[in-house]
Amino acid sequence: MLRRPLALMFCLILAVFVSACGDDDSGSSDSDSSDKGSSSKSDSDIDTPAPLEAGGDLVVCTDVPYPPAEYQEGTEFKGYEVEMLESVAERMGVTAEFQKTGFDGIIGALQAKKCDAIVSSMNITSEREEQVAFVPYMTIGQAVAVTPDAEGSINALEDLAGKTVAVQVGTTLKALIEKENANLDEPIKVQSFPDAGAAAAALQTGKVDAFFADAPVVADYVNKQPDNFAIGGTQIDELPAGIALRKEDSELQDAVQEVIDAMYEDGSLEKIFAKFNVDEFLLADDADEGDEAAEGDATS
Amino acid sequence: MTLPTLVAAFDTGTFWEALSPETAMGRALWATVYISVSAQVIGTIIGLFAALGAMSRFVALRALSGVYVWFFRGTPVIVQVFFWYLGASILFGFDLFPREIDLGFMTMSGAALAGITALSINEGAYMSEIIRAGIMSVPPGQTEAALSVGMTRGTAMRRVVLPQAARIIVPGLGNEFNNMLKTSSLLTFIGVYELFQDAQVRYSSNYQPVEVYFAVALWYLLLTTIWQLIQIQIERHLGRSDRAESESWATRIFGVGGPRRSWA
Repeated sequence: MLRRPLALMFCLILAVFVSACGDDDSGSSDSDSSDKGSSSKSDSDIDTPAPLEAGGDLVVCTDVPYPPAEYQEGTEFKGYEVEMLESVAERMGVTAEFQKTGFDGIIGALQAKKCDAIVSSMNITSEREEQVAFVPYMTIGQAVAVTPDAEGSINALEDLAGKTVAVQVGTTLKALIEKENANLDEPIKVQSFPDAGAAAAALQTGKVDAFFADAPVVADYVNKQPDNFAIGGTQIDELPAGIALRKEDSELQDAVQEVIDAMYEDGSLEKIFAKFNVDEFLLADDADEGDEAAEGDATS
Repeated sequence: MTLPTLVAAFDTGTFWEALSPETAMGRALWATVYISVSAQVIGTIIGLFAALGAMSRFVALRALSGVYVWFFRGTPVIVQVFFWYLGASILFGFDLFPREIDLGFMTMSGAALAGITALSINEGAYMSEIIRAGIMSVPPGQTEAALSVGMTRGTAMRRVVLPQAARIIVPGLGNEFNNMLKTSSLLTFIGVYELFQDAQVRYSSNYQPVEVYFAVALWYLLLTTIWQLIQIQIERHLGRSDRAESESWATRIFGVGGPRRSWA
């Protein structure tokens, strides 16, 4: 998706010059096992794909905190994307191990083999598809939160004319608003925040009139703090989000796709998403197979 | 990845684009400059009063100054920034800063004003210690002499002690302002559009954080270099009674070309 906090950059630079970014046991899982992984049997649903080792780890890069998708309680990782990847790993006969990675450096970390997969509400865009392969699992659009007093009065972008809107740096919304402003007498003013929490607090304290973010994030704020936040209109600019994998790991791509398809079929993915109130963001039925859903030219 | 990979991946076109005045020079650069300058000026004034308080005859003033320095120097600036802009509103239920302030020649956002407030108050704590050190470096005989010719304590401080303390204060002040230029980047977290946020917005649409961060780093380097040149002039002015020969800028910045100043 679209957030790019800054911790990442330093991480990326570090990853470039040094060899490790984050915990140092990350790179080990894929180094010496690439040729034997596919043949080992386990009690799981499918064969463990290369480059993983049966009983080993699937190292997953994720940018926490990004509730409700992924966040930490103590050192434990939680969230619907975390639970999804734990199930995926389990069905492949391995254990998911999560590694906190800044969003900006996260594709670099995957390519540098700091991890085997990325799950971080990452929208599938053509730019990213040049660098990594995706297995889509949900659709993420962007939605607007308003104060409960303003509920009902703001249902579309043009209702925000003359008002100030908090957006997260890096979302497509700023461009969207600038386009909308061309048609409005009074422009929508934008205040950018690197972090969704500060943007939400700005709405809560009346610094801005609305707060734009990824729809699941907005839904989470509204669910958890109905006194402070209400939803303003439906989500816009929807794009599929995917689990990112290295392009050369075709066996792993097929295995993950197979598991996600199976989880859609047996309802286990819906169960996980429903637990976090985000089941509305699952892929529509006809997109289940995934590959055709991966088209996207927006730059989120 | 190795160093050659990095160099190959480094898109010089993007780098120059982000560096060019048309793209970064505008609002963002101006915001960084006016926020840093205002925060440093206000912080220095606060610091002067805090330093005088710390050396006061009255125990209450000494305690007040001590608690101020202790608290604001001992807590993270980013927390203070969040507090003034967001935390205070949540705690007290009212806004300390309006959304926009019309200054006639420009409109300042409430976030920028909250940021200047936070940075000034934080800076005051550091400046207080620097100014106190400067004042203490002036021999007590100077004050005694001033009092003996009939000056009041206030006049003696203003006319005799502070001008001499300034020579000690300015290098520390220069250091602080250099820091301030860069610390102002923290205001991106409360939604102030300044140099650093400009970089964040830029790389989030072109996916080239390395180039953009290098460019923004050079902008900060340019600002700190300009300040360094100004500081040299100030120090030269203050030190004119002590130093017969003046050194070139190259000598002052890079330590080359002038007389050796090592101890050995």
